[in-house]
Amino acid sequence: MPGSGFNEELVERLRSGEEHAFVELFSIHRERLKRMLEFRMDRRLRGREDASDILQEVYIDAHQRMRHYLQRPQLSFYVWLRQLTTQRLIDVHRRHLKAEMRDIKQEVGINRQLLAATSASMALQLASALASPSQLAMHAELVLQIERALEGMDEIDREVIALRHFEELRNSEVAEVLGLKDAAASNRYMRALSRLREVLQEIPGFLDES
Amino acid sequence: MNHDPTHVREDDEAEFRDPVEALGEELLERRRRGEQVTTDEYARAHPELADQIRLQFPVMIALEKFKENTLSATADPYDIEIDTPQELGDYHIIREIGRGAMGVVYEAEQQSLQRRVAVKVFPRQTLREARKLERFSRESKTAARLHHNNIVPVFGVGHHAGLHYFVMQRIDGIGLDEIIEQAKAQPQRDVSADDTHAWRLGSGSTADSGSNRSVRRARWFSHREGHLPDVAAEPESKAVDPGLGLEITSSFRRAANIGVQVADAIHYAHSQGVLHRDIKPSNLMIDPNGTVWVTDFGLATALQQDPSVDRNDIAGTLRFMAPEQLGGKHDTRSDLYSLGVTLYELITLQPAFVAGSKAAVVDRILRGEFQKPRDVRPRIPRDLEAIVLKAMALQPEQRYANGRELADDLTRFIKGRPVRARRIGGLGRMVRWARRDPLAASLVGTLAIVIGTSFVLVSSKWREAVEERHRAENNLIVALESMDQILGRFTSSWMARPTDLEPGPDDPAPGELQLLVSDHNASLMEDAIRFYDRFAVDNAPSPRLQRDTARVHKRAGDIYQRLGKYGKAERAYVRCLQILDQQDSGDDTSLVLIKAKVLNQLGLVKHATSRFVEAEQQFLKARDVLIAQVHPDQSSCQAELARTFSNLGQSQWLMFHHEDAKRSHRKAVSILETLVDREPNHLSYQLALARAYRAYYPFASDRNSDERTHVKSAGIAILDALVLEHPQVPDYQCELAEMLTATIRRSRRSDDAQEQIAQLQRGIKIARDLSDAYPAIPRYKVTLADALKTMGDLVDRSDSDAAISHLNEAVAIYRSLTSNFPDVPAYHFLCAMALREHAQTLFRIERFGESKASAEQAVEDLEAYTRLRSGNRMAWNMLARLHDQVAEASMAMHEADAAEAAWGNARQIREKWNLQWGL
Repeated sequence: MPGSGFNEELVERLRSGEEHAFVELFSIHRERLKRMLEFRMDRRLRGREDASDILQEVYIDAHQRMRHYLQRPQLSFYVWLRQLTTQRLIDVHRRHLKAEMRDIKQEVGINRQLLAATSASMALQLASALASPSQLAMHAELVLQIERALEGMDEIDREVIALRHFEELRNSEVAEVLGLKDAAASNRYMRALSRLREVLQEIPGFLDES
Repeated sequence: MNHDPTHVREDDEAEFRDPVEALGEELLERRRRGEQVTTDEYARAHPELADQIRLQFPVMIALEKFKENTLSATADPYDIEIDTPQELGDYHIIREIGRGAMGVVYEAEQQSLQRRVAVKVFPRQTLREARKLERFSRESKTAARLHHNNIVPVFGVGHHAGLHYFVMQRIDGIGLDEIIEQAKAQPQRDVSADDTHAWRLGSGSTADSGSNRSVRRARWFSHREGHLPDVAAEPESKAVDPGLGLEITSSFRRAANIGVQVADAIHYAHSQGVLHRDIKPSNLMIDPNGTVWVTDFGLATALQQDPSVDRNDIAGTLRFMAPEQLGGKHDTRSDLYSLGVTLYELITLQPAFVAGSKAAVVDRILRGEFQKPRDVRPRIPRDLEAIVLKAMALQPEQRYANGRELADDLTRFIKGRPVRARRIGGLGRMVRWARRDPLAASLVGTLAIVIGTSFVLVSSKWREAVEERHRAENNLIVALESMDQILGRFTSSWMARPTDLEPGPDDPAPGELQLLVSDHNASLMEDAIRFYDRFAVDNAPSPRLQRDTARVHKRAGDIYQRLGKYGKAERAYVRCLQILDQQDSGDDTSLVLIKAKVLNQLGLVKHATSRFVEAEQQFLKARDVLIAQVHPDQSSCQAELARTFSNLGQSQWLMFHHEDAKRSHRKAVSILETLVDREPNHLSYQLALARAYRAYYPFASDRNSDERTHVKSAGIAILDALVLEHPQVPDYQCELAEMLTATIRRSRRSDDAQEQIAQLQRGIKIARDLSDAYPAIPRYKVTLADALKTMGDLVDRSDSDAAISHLNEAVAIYRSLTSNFPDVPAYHFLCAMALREHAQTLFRIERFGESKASAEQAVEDLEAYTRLRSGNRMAWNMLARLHDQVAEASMAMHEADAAEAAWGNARQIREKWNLQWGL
């Protein structure tokens, strides 16, 4: 049930030491986490790293730190899991890119920025759905247009779109992840939508609801 | 709209959520749940916000729609709208008789033949893609070829005005799902009489006969998902004789009879190459004569939304799906599993897997966690329970091999004869134990399939299960044995251990489940092993238990060694030896053998981490243990002794004790030649002999060239034969590639040189295929890189470009190994050696700048090595030489300062280690 970020009952069961609840809670969020990983993983790593493998590690991390988390939960459960997942992903990126750096003798800063939703990957995701034969011709152009629209956005706005749609977070969760107030996250989201609409409405059929 | 920084700041200081956004959040959540809510609905419900809603919602919906490639992912499967015309080609539609995820079923009259048929019409979008449509028509053609008394005949497929449909014989009957529902509704009335009349649904009844005992509203095809409230939509179904379902389900023999018919049908279809893929009660119709009709053969495949099965969104009814099906695999035994779950539900009147969420159901299925039928209803006969449990076994291997076997066993039950399901087979003890303890049973199953997120849970459950103090020691022994079996699957012979001679007695037979050795699996294993460790300390009351525990440690060590995790492997072996040392070996050959093996393994780990002196000590201990024992002549002891000498020789050679090394290798060869003569069919002796030849090859006399040629061709011949006879064993191929590489000699004669190149090319090809097929095994990568490097060395005088490209590739492979396993010194060393070759070749063709760069990288790697193994003189000597090489390249480029610095480094090292030039 993606969308419900914080399952009080399950977390309570967790607190009372029920192991099953943990498995259940994790399974509930697993798909969302996986989507997040697939979306944010560096394109160069996609063939080499499997999101499921990373999630296994996250599962173990979470299992080990759960007690600690429950003592004083400062984040909602999903956001906490997401944080552990991000950390793992950073590790993976670091490991691979380090290996590559030695070969190409090039300094690449590895930090959280790396995981930010890039305009290119979002544009690709959005446009790839249109790749039917008749639409293929406009595909490249489309990617470019969407990419431009996204690039023109405030970085955090772009991130808000990614979190709301690709990770299916609620407004409150988005606010939590980005350290914003609920109201700020909400207004940023609306502004980003307007911006996107300007581009998307130019594409025939894109905004048709059916 | 605006998006300059001022507005950003305004947004961040806003006090309220945008109300349209809040509504949008609701819209998105409802749509994600599958509700078909529209912009329009919201706009009308909130007129004051309508303008904004109409602007923003379409963008939200578009983003949702396009974020995934699957257009149908959010569509509600039940909200299908089909405007079916009155006529579909030859068929005149009479009325709707069923509705499900896949389509709508109508009763129709085929006008040309004037017969009543059932027509299933699919929603337009289901078959929109050409690929799916093609699959659909192929599958339905196959299904139309099935002719069996228990399979609903398919007349054909067609399309009309863009609608695709499927024409079947109209069956006058009732879905088994409905029968189960009926029986559930009246649980108190327990009819035990074997009343054959109750079995019949009123003979001769038709769908509209109006008879009380008849099925007023026969359902031809029902496709309800278990929990969907479509009962309300069909009030007539209540009119079904309420006693009927109960009659059927309360008579277990009748249930078995249904099972026999379905199993027969499935078996027949499988023999025709057709899988059903969606066996469940609602796909089984029972007609008034008690005949079971299986519907929708092959349709599940044809209509599957997406080949990659999403855990949260699987077509069909989840709770009847086999665990492997959830992972996207399906074979004949998966159909049998689904039939098992169907029978379970029929005899217990309860679903086997229930949980609050889909994800939780999936989790239970994957763990095989369900109440045993007799725990639900104690009246269920033991034999029938055994049959259902066997059909529902978590692992396909443990189920009935085919529908025929299941049908036969059910028939045995009906006739009161003993059933096969209760016989105890190979894994018997484990299964029996598992039956006593479903908790542990699910555990064993889960461990064996290592799926998803359950492993951590498993180890904690395991702990619970075994820690219960009152548990008998016997249970602990079985627990350990099964753990050992599971670990054994990691290291089974076909994945082959790098250095072990003997396949374990409990290695799985070919065809049994195998687990891929990966870092991931190994890390999951650790928790369980840690527990064993503690277990061994706390409990360990009997020698038997101790020995089993020791064996688990050895297994773990083998896995770690194979993964290149030498630190962990060493700890596991040391722990194992500690336990073994507490045992009184006496004249127990098997204990001696295990001890020697572990000593050898430990020595190899030390060897692999360049601690040759320590390695030699372990090998010498192993030798002494073997020689001192009472029956040294036994083949297994001789083989282990030979292995010990081989290992010893390797370490001695790397310590420059040439004569000792030669003696050791020769001993190994002669022991093994005797063994192979004595037992020519013993594969592992042959493999060992081939390895011994390879190790001895460099020592074979150069002057007497016959010895060398003999050693080489004998070794290759053995491995060629092994590869030919056992193509499924990758390690034989690896051995062959290593042999082909190790016996390359540079030759001045050109015909000979061509032969050498051909030999090496073969080695490279084999190694490349292996490392592509098993990317997680470092050994195969090393083999490939070594062969490439040897090739570079071989051709660098004749074709320096080719040499450089081979060396480049070798360096790249070693580089990936050093970055993945930075704590393994050997990889740094090998990498440095390949780089050195690279530098020398470049120097020879006067590309001095690149040569210098390679030499410098080699220095870096060797320095990494010496940081890990600072006591290795040989490495320091090599390092000094690498500095020399840097200096030479610098000189060639007239960089006198750089050269001087490099020479300075080399001198320092030589002074410190008192090394001489050349050595």
